[in-house]
Amino acid sequence: MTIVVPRHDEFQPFGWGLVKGLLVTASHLVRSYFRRNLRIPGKEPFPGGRFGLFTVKYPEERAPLPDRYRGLPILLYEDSTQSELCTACMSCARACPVGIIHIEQGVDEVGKKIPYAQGFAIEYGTCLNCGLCADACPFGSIVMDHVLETARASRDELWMTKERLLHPVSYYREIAPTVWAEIREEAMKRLDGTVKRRPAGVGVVPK
Amino acid sequence: MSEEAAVHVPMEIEDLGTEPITLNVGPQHPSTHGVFRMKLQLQGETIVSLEPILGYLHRCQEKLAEGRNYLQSIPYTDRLDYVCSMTNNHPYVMAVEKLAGIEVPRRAECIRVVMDELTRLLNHALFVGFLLNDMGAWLTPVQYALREREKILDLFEMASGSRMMCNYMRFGGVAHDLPEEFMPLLTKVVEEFPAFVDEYERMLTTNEVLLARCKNVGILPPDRAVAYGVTGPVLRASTVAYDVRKVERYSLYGELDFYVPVGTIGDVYDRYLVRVYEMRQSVRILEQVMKLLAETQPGDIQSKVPKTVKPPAGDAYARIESPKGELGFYLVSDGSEKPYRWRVRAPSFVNLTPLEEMCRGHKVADVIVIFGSIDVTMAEVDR
Repeated sequence: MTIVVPRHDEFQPFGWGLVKGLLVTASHLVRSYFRRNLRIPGKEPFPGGRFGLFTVKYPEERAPLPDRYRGLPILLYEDSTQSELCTACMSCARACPVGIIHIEQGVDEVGKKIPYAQGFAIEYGTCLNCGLCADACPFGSIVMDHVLETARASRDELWMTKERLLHPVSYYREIAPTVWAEIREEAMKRLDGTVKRRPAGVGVVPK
Repeated sequence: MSEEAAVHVPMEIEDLGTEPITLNVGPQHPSTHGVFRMKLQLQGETIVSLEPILGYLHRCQEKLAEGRNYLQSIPYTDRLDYVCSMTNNHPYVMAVEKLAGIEVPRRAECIRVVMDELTRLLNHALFVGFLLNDMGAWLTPVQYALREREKILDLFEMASGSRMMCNYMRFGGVAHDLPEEFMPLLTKVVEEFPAFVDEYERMLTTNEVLLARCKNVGILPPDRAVAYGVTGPVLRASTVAYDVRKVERYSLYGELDFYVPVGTIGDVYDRYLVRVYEMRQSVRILEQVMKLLAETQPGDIQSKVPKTVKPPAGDAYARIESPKGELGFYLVSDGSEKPYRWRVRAPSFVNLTPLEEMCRGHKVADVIVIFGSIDVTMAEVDR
């Protein structure tokens, strides 16, 4: 089951090979003004569905990202009750290949552990964007954001604490509807159980 | 150094009484794909000897993996050969599956083969572009390749969430099922790709400059290629029809119908042609796998695997035909959740070894072309 590739040894180009190549580039010069540009079917490619050559003027307009896109990890909280989905189960911290997720479990007055992350921090500067934390999370709390601009003014700002990590569920539902639809049911069911085990007022994001 | 490989130096230069000079190419040089240094000994412009110096990109990946559990090493395999991360995932998960005795559902196997062949398409398209870059066709062919690669990277991004660091395969399957819009787009890519290869060939294959720079340059005879342990398109260009897909018949390749293109003398031109023909064969494979994929049940992509894989003590070696050659992972388990030894058989590294033999007797400008024709990624060479 082998084929021997032909070497065109008998071919005497006399410049024809070059001309053929130039014809290809010339045809592209013409075609590039009429070609239709499509990216993801089912999603509007770019405003107006343009033809031919054009530039996506990046900060103002963006090419759409697929739902599954893996940016940096963020935490979610429920919109109506403002309660955090995270229960400090440490699954993500154990799954992280570089060990950049740091969690401090909350305790009540008598020192008993409660399903609530007192402190939660991710070192964004070292993140691999691998998504293993989001895969490991049984509560649908840690998900991958779609933000592309990750530059920070200083190194300290890359130490992302809980206040800056927390995003509402509605935000994630908007950027990744299909992924959220997969995890929604399980996440909401588990959140109900979590809220029951927490003392009142704990794990609620201030408005 | 054998007798017959003695360098032919033109008489006139010897008469002039010139001394050999040493020339460093790299480590930071636009034509070394990555960070790679070549120490050349020149007689006039003719290469007398070449010493490759490696290690500028060494990242201790094999040692790093020993400190992590099996699952956590998958993102690190992406970073071996960052051009084709999907084919890096594949042999690693195969090795762990062999070690732990994990079954893979048929749909997952189909998806893996689709991803492997798409990776081959993009790697070979990019290879041809960069080979022409090395010859001085500055960026035009590479732009054509990047345009096609972009479509394939869109597919990767859709399925896995990342364009290059895919981290897509898991033990006993793949991470996520294919999204709805994947199959129409894949069909489109597969339908359009042969036209792209035709266009590419029309532009390049009989181009006089390419013929002059490639023909009879950097010949690697089959016996020397086998002796050096070279694999992949470089070996097949040297007339040896050795393809791991045919030899090992891993995954679904046993039931797929495709040819193995081989060259006739093993020069740079043969290496170029073999890759172009492999692209056509990959399209054929994709067409067949898409039919098989349509027969499988959506969602059946993952077999039951414990959260933390703890394979029994023992060792396993799994290999696949990556676009660059035989990529293998050798794992030794001591029964714990972390591997005792994690070893990569990197095709780029092994294919780089006959570089001196290929270059000796050629001119300085040919070194760049010969080096480009091996198709190495330095991240995989140094690990």
